[in-house]
Amino acid sequence: MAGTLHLIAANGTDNLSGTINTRDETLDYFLNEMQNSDDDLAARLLRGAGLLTLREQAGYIPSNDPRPMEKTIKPDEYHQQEHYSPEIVGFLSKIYQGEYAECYPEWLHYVALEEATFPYEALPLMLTLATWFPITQALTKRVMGSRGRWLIDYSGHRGWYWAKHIKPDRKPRLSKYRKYEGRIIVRLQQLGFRRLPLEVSYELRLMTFPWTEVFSQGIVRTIKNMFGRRDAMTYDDLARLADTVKWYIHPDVRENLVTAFSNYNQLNETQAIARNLDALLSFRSAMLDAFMGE
Amino acid sequence: MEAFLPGWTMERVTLLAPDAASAQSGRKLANPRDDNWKAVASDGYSAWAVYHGSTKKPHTLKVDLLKLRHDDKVWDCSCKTYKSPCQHVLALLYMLVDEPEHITVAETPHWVKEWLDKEAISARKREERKKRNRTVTPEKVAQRKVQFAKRKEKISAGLTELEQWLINIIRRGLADPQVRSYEFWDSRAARMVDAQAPGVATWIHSMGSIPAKGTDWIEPLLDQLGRLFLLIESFKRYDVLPAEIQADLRAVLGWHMKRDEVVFFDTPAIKDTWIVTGRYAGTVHNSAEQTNGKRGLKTQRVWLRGLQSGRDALILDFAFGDSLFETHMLPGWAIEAEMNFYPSRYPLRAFINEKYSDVFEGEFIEGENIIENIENYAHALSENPWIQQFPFVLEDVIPVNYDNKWILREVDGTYLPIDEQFEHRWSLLALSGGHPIQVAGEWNGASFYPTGAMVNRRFVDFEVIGKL
Repeated sequence: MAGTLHLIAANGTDNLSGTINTRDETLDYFLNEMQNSDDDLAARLLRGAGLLTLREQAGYIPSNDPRPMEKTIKPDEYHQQEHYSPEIVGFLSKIYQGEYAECYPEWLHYVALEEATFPYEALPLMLTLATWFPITQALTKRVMGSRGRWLIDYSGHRGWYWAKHIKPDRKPRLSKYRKYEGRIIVRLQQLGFRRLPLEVSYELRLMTFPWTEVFSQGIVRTIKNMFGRRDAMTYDDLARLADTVKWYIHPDVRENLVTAFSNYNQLNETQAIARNLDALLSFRSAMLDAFMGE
Repeated sequence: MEAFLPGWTMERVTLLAPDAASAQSGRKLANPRDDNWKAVASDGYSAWAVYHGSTKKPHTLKVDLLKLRHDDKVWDCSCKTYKSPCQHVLALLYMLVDEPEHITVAETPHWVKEWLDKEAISARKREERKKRNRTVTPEKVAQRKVQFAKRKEKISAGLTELEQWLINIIRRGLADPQVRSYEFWDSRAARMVDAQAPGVATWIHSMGSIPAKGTDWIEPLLDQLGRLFLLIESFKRYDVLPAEIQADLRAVLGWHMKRDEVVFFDTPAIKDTWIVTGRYAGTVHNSAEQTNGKRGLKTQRVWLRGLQSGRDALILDFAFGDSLFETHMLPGWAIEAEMNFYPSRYPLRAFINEKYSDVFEGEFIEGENIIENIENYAHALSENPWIQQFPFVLEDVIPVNYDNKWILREVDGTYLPIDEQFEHRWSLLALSGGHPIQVAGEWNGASFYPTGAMVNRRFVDFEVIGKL
């Protein structure tokens, strides 16, 4: 019956020709209502559709799918692990919405380092973020655990195919930061003499070193020295510099770094860079606090 | 050390923030070791601080902790921001929750005492004003009658015009290309805002997205048009209908009843321990501000269930732009309170009339199976056919994705379809791991929208998850 009503509604009552014959008693009832009343045919159709909807809603019978349940994961895994604040989901959401993505690899690094777990509702967010930031894929594979692997297997999600063949990675190592530190500081010093070439910036970004305080202090010292030189840096130089270092900088150097930028000159653009760095490092700090349960 | 705000978490403080930026700034400032904080102290009943940042004059701020524990937002800061609470108050609250050991315990200084006294006087005045407003005087009744008649007339005119518009659509047919245009629906929705029927405006606006959903859109669209037509027909008989049915019609029209109007009805007031089962927050797409490019009206539905009474209650909140919702409660939180219900043939919407406790972490409640929930809905619908969302607490359901159709099924195969608008389907699946969990949500007669879940004795609030 509903099919006939929908057909009439789709074509329009003005375009209806002849009478409608049906063997459906309920439709007969509605059509009689529609045809015998003094009302406009369109009004009668609307009334009939409304009543039918209410009837269907009140008499809703849930469907049944007899297929047996498959693809479950052992439920005990969740119970054995210690969880930290579900607040972390809020931070990840923020990153997912496009803010402070620079904080994500570091957070993930600590999750892997601590062999910690996280609220499961965050898993789809993390898998999607890893698709966006391939640099985080290795760490994501490490931390997603059997629940993550189950989710990927279940979903057949194209975007998550990168994680399809998962080999547990080794625990990330922190011992080589000095090597990286030396390299990046040499690169940064080049900035003092000429503008940061794109390839240097790119190379700096590729250095996925840890976010240690010692290393970050070294960076800030170098930047301060650069700012102390006479060579004027353009806004582009400053922006690129900030953009390069913000991925790796430790929140504890926030004050020094932000002051260095904000003291360089009083131009609005420079102050905006300083403010953005400040906001980013605050976010980084808050996110780590939420993870560490402080 | 005894907590200044017992049971409070950082998350709960964040919930008070008018926007994410304020919360972040608050967190940034929340360091009692920072030299800019010249004093951070409390006597257990109130807290105060002096913050001297980059401005010439230091900011003085104070918070009434006793009131805050009962969810009454009483604070003050001398900074000039329009945001409330400002970043300084948020920072103070963060410090009270997170680092109570760094808060000096001291006698209340005179400037805080003076403020508390002033606040107490203002609160008393507010209470008196409220009482005065609630008191029904003959003048007020006469004034209300005039307002009521004017609005009813406006709505009647709007609905008469709408009736003809609906008839014209069906005459021309839903296959008419203009039906697929959003503008077609939005312009009519705007007319209904002018006719002071915002509920109908939102309804019409939402219809605009149905033709864009795919191939099978005629049926759901006709369902909605048919129901809207019945509403128009019912409203024509408004004057002869019983008061509760009139109230139900008003609710669906968006002609919301004020709290003081509730006294005219014999509505239930239930004292109980109320547990939040779910929360939905969204935007109302009908405000004139939004069409002018300004930030629109936000709405929040908090669903609660009485532990002893088993009654469901809905607290409906509205807020503009960055302002806060009046109710700050997350799934799993509870409060002992007297809940007053708005008049209806099947009362659901309510407000907290009297609080008997602070908000605390609630007990876990048992839900019902799908059939029991559907039976409850059928009963509710027979009383009030205009129910748009009905609360379900589904016990032992498993989220499943069959050929891109998401459902919540029981082990025996009985299932409900998950609403397509629900964006956190993968998160729900990740939470369950293919095992039965408890999911609370809203049933609209055709699909289920999850608003909260309980997994391994932990409540999950979907509103904090990013859009997937």
